[in-house]
Amino acid sequence: MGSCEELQSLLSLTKTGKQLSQYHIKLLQKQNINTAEDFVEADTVDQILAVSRDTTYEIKRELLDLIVGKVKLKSVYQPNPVNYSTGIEELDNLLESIGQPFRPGRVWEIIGESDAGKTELLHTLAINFVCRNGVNCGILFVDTNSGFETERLEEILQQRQLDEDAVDKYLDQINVVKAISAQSLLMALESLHEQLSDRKANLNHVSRTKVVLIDSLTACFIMLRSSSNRNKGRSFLTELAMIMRKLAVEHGIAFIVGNLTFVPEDETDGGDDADDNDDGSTQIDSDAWQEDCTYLGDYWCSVCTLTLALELPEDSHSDGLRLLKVLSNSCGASEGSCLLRITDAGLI
Amino acid sequence: MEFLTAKQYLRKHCSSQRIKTDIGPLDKFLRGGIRTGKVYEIVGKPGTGGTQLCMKLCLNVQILKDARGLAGKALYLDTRMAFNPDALRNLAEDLAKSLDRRWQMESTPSASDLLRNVHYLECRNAAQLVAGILNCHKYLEDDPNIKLIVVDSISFAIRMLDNVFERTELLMELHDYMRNLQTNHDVAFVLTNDLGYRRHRRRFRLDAVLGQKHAHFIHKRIWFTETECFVGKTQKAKRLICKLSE
Repeated sequence: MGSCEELQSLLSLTKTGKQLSQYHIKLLQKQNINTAEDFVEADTVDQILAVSRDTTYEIKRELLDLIVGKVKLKSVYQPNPVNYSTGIEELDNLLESIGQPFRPGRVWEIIGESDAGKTELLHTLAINFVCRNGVNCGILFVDTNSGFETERLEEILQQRQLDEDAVDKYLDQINVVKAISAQSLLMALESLHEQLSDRKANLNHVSRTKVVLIDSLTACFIMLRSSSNRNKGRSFLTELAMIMRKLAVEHGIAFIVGNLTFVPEDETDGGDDADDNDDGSTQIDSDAWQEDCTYLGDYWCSVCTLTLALELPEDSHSDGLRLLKVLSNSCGASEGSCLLRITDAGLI
Repeated sequence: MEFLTAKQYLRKHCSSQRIKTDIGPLDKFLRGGIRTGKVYEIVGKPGTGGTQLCMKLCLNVQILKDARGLAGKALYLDTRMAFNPDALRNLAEDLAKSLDRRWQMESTPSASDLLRNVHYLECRNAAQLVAGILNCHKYLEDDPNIKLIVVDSISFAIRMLDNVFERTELLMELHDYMRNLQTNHDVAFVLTNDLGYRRHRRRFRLDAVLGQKHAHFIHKRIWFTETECFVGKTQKAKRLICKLSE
């Protein structure tokens, strides 16, 4: 009964818990409360012990302080964490320099205007990931806007001079789920969580998932933007963030979310050329607009640890050149950019 | 919730048959042509061939399966009375002739068969357009063979509304509805849109109207000028596909 002794010794360390007698501890044992965690989680401790509710709350609070203190930083941060690479050399260098390599459990966001190449980048990342990591690393592509194309994946793989068997093998590692509404997006992630948690289930193609790509959140969220739906939209984002965190912490799933941005002139008029009577004073500084118009609000900004913006470079007219900028980074410097080119073999 | 691998997805959602646009390089870029389950948009100044292409697609969707077609039918929602039955008949006769020459099958549809399989719906204003699109599920249940729905032009009807917020609201609702429709039915949407001047960082520039939210829901936007054909979402990011020589 080592664990029981542990509970007892923990209790004796707390101020209020000290007052519990040996008899109380036996009562707890009878109710199968053997560890500090059981004690904190049990609702009926006050009834079992026949003490006041306030006292049990006090004990629980003191116990919690003790348990939380017990977790060592070392066990949270492994000395040698697994690093996935994005497979795009320039991007890897950039991420290295800002101290945010692609690791399990990371939540990233890629924002950009329509047609900036977000979907293309996600396709490329999916391919790079399955090519670089073994058979046991799968991708889940959550498609909200029917933007996913198997043919495009095949094309990218074929451009890399792979034989047919290899192409087939890689395509099998990429899973797709269609989610056209906010509700179905949540359901998809929840069922992913279920399948990952279910240890008994055979290792099917979904349970190998290590990275989830969501393209794009905006398509789900845009339907919830009227004043009556605004709170629904917020609650959706909160729920989404919760399930994403859960997956990230429990299963080390990394997320990359694609999001749409709008140029500010368009924000106010809802999309037409009717803004010509609007004076120039509302002009927003061209550097600031990107942050101002991510559409999902401040709350969402706090969910992602890294925000990358994909833009068309200002002055270049060259076809297919894109600028990838670091907008915010919660683990280090948030500046830097790199140039990527859209080619037949994906983004390089 | 259905999790599919990329290969299963290909088998389930992408029929290998496409609706040809008959513009070689464009077909090549679109991997064979317009496919079901997606929303396409055709943008161009009046008279550059948008409506013409729409009518051609309505006929090409009917090419028989043996001739690598979809053997489907088309529904044409017309908002600006640009639909011209005579022009359609000419196109149908051309198509019937060329099909006959190329495949020489007994079941090749005649020009009048081709015309019979294009359903036409007149939508004089935004309300009628919305009603038309909301009723699409009925049409599709009555005739599951409809594989292509053309809205020519979506901007003409939507822009009749004065209030821009109403416009966006309505447009988003339509997109939501179209997406739901596409999950239940195997159908392609082709919309046409107009060009207009949009202010961008104090400069005016010619771009497709109806805004960026609308643009996000469209999968491919095809641009026509008098001599060239482009594909891309915005004026800035569009790519030249080919020169049109006619």
